[in-house]
Amino acid sequence: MIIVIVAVGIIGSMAATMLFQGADIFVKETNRQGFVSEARSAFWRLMRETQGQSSSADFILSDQNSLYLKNGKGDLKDFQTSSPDQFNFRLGTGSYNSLSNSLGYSQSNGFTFYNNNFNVVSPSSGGLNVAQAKTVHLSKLDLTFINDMDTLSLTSFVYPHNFRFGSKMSYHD
Amino acid sequence: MASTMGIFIILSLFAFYLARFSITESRTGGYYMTDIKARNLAMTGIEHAMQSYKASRNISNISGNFNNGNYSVSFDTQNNEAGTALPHSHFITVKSTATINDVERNLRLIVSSMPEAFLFSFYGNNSGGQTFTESNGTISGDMFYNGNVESNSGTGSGTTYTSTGTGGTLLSSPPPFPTLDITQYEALLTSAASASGAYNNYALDFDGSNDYVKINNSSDINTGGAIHTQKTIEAWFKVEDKNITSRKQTIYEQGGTVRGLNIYVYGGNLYVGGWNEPNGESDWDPGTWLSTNSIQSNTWHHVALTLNGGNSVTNNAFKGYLDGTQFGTGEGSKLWNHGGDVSIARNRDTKFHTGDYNSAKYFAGMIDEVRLWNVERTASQIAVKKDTVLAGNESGLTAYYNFQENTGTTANDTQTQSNNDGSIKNGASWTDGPTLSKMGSTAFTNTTINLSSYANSQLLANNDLTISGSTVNGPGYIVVNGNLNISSNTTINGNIFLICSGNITISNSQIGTGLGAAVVIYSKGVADYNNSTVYGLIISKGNSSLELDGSTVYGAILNYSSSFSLVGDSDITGSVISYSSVDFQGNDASITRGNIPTFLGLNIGLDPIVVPGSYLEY
Repeated sequence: MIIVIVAVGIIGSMAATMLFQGADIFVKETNRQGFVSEARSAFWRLMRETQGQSSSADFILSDQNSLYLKNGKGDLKDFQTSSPDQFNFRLGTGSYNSLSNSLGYSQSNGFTFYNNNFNVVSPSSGGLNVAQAKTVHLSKLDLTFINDMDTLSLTSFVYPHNFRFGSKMSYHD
Repeated sequence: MASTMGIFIILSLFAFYLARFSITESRTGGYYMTDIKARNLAMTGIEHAMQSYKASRNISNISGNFNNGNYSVSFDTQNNEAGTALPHSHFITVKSTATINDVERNLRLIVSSMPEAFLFSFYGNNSGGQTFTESNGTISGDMFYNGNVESNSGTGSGTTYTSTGTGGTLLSSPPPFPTLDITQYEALLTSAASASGAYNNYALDFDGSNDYVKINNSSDINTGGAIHTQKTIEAWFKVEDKNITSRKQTIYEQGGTVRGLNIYVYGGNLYVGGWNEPNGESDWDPGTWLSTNSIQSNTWHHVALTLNGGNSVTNNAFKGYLDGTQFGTGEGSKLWNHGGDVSIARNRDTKFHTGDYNSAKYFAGMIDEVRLWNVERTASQIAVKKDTVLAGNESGLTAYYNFQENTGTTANDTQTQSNNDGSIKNGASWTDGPTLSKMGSTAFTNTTINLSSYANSQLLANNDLTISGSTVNGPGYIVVNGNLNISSNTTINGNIFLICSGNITISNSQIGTGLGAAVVIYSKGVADYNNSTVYGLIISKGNSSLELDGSTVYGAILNYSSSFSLVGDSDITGSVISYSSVDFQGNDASITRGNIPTFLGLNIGLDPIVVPGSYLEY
């Protein structure tokens, strides 16, 4: 009887340990998937909003850590990367909302801008000025997300859809 | 046992928790993928809609589905997606919605039905480099000129000049001069050039039982005094059976038993008759009937009678012609004024060669080109003009029924001096008329032209075309391989193309009736618009001249001519695109940025564009 009780205890503890380890692996893997999803979703939102940029002039004030956008109906939007790990989004002039707190700030190259000769447009102090912004033809988005031992780098060039239809001018309004 | 059950329950709850956790995470992670798919599907819808719209400005709703989702696209000619009015009348919002499962994406574009240059009040792509020096007149709204602009040459906010012009901002990347696809215009002109006849001739078909045309008594036909010394009555006819002897098949009658004229077929012969019985008048009694048997059943013939009489009966005053050749002559006098009916294809009470005047003698067959003159036409005039439609303003012409209506129950009198319209009775039907092969020009006067009655709604003229005092109903095309002249309060209703290989002259007329009922005019020669109002698009394609004199245009002008003048009080509200400078010859002339028609459902040879900056996801 005692032997049976001891055997059941040993087997039970082994089973419990195995269940715990299995559950731990499952939860970690699921969290990992959550991290990947969060990073991808945040990056997709960034790409989508950038593709909706109405006019190159609206890149004004953008720099490596800030991306200013205005869509076809005049809504202001901007993205911001900040140390140590924040990737934020703001609609209009309100407060920022976090898209991810897993950003590897120092590992991310942030936002880069190119003219139609594919030369980098280097923002002046305080971000792109009007003249610089008007020359922007292409933007590069380069963010790295880090979670525990996992690192996910996402990079894309974005040529806004509106740019395919010509430059927006005052006489279009 | 109990402990085993307890462990089983705990393990089950644990497994359920893990499964729920996994599903929640997977769904959250999958949303952005569905979002990407839905967005791409919405863009597919936009592409589908744009191709549909580009072909012919079609704004029918569009839908489709694939990848387990569906998209729908709609067009709004008034507002954007938020219900705000669009800034220009020729802008259209294209809205696409795509749905995959419970994810929905919405996109919109704003499309201009006209190329970008039409956003300016005046866009002058002057290739010669001359200076814009006009100080007369005004230009209001954004202006672009590819050359030099002197001071005070344009007014209004937002005036934009290139080169050394003053008063505006340098436009660094002006839109291109619009590209006009002339394929359809030239194809239509080619069709007109090969048209066998410029005139689609219609006639009336009478059943011989009760069909006829009634013309009211009129002072210039029968009841007036001192106007019946000379007469000419003409008509084309095609009798089904010339040999009928049961009745006199009357082609034309006027008057009654005492005084009158008639034309009829009986027993294989064609008769023309005249009489004026009273002793106190000319005593032309019983009268004169001339006949010929040179007619065939089911064959078009031209018949004419002429009268040149005095107060008394004289020889050779009355003559008959068949197919332009005189077949008889006889005595006659003038007619005193007379009542009684005037009819085509019926006899009411005029007198026949047999002395009877039985009523209700109807004609079985076709009749066309009935012409009533108060002059005696000569044999030469009859022969030359029988195959030619008349302009309507010929001297002595008092009534002219060409039966070109091709619909309805009114036979318009299309001569210009007076109006004696006839009423078509008892269902006489419309049919093709004789081929009038000698026409050097085509004329429509005081009539209604329904383009739907022409093949493919295309009135093709292989010569000059004149439209005077008439109304043209569309949709359709008037294509002239020659010159086109529109005058005398003519109204060209909407959705009509006027295409002309030669000169176009429009005076005192209304072309198009509104921005929603606009007209497209394409001409290759000299273009003159005098004292007229135009709603639509004027394309002056030739290297000649375009002049507006005292005219108003609501819409757009696309000018390739080397000379472009605004004379007098000419005003353009819309947009002007020109390869040359505009010469303001009137201080009151103006060009003002304004609304332009959308030309929905029409291919005008100009591609629509997507308005830059209008792409929006919402």
